[in-house]
Amino acid sequence: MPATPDDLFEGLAAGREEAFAALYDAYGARLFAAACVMLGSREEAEDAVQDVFVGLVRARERLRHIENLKAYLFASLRYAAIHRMRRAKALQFDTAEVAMPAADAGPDAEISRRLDRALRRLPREQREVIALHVDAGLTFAEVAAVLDLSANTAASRYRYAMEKLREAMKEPDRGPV
Amino acid sequence: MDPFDLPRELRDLERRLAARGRPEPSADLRPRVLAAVRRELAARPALTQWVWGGFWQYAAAAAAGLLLVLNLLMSMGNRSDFPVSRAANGADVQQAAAMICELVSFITPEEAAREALLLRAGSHLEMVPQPRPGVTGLRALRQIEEGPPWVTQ
Repeated sequence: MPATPDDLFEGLAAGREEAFAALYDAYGARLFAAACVMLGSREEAEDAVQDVFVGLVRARERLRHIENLKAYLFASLRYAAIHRMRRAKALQFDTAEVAMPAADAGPDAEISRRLDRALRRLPREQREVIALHVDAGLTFAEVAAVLDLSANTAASRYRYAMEKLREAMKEPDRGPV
Repeated sequence: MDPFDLPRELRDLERRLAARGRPEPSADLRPRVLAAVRRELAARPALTQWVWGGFWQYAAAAAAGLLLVLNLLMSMGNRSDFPVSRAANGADVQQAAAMICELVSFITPEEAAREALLLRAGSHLEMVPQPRPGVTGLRALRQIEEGPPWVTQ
């Protein structure tokens, strides 16, 4: 990672590949995890992450004006995910279930699988807020910046989404969505 | 109710959610993303790089364009036919004025020249009905055959 955020912005604006690599190393895994929850498909999530970086290259001249790069990245991811969901809906193909890590087994793994399935049943807005806060590790202020809401509204939406998730977990498991 | 404070049950659920196994990106995602970045960088060099790198090319193209426009303008100026001044003193006008003077003995030469100019101008005009907006205008157009008031324009 470049020494300072200014160095990183400088590298991105100048189109230096190592700056993009550093950014991927810092945020790639979290972007992917959030994209998996938003899209419910590994392949689509990987494509969405790629879309984010290609979009960054295209917008690199304007990156110096961005105050919060992390919020900008996840907002880009959200747009990429929405675009992919609309395309999937238009093409009428179902997204495959996200494969869990191979090491997972036992009762905890089963709960994780149920949680993932319950997450996929939530509406997009609720899935997004959980993906951003839990999977991407964003604070409510950052989630609010990504979703263009106030921090209070982001927190309320998160709480509502968690309540819905709890209700979904109480229902009998209907297997993969 | 503070939206930032979750009840205990939801806190537990949040903990389980955070602890669940999350999918990791495949090992080839990083090279794939960076290859896409490289392709995009090659396809879209930075604007500043383009402006400064191609400054002389840009200046040369602008100068060539300017010369072409000037050349076209000069060419148009040289080939343009401005009949107005010639028409005022043209031989045909003078001839017509002389004929008017012969036919109308009391007319002054200046008046004859004026009449000749008017005649010449009139010779290039076509009779058209006076266009009027609305129903009146339409009616006037329908009355062409019946002999509407003719004007010269």
